[in-house]
Amino acid sequence: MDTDTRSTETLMRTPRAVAAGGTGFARTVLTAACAAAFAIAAANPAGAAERAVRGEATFKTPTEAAIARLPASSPIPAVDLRSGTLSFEIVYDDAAPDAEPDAYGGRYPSAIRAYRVRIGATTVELPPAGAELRVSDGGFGLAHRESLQLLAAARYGGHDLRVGWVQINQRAPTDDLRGAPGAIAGDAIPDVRTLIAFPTSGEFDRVFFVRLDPVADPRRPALYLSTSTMTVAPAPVGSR
Amino acid sequence: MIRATKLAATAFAALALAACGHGGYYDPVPVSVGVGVAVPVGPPPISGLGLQLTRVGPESIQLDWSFEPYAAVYEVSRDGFPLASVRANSLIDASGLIGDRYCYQVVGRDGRGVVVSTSSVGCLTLF
Repeated sequence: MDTDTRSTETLMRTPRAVAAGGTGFARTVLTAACAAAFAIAAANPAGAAERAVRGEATFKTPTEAAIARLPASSPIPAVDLRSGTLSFEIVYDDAAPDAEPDAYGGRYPSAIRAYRVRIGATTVELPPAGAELRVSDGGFGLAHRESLQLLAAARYGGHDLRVGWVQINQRAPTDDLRGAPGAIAGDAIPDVRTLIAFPTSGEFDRVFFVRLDPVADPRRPALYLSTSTMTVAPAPVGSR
Repeated sequence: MIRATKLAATAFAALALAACGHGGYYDPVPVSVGVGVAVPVGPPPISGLGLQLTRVGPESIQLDWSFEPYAAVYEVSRDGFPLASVRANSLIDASGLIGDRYCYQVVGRDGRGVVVSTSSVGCLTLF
């Protein structure tokens, strides 16, 4: 009877002991599992992942005089500038860290994983190392202006090719858009739906631009394209 | 035979007179004329102009607007103040400054100076 009682106590006690971190082996397995779970959660918080957007646009073709002034190192041939059509595809990580300590201005130099622009029949792949995602929730001294900017740059000979998808939302200079009053509540990377349907302050405050700046004098670009006539939609990340 | 010829001649004469509009034939369709009803004679209707703004340089904005056949001149205003008066359908404003926001409107006027077309206000920020 006594033996039976001990056996029963032993059988009942064992599960409780394991659940509380009982045996050495079980404790090791549990610790490893918890560490793995924390590592995964830290790397991918709240479902963070790579996102991709794709835009298509038409642009006003440069004048023939402007095309004639294109430098020989231009990555975009004249024939493609005459096409008047461009598209872009940007892959970014919405969990990238903010390099800007300011609470209202977010700068994410490691967020963009791929940045591709196609003008006419020419595709230019810009290096992620020269790309940056910027979020301004009424920051940088412009409390009345919010902006989302996905920028990239690459050097070709004596010129820098700079491209960017820029969206601006602003009100009267007396309004303060920081925090809840604006379209975004902070300087975090917004979700992809907000990025695509950002409520700009006007149809011309949603711009995709392409410029080719002489390294020696970036204020006088050799080429400047800009368009507000575009459609942007989410794209599958695997379409790269 | 003679009688038939006379009838044909009479019918021809009647048709010819009717064609002239003063044939002396009674028009059976009554024409009513309103009495005391003033017919308004006002300015021509104002049509819309499509306005497109494009940044063509770091501090340059190109304005393009649609053609208005009755407009002899287009007046371009920026932020409510006159900027230019042109006959073309395009203008480049190279007097912007980075960081500022500019709002444009184009108004078309006929040869007498009457407004015949106007655009909506388009705004652009030089980021």
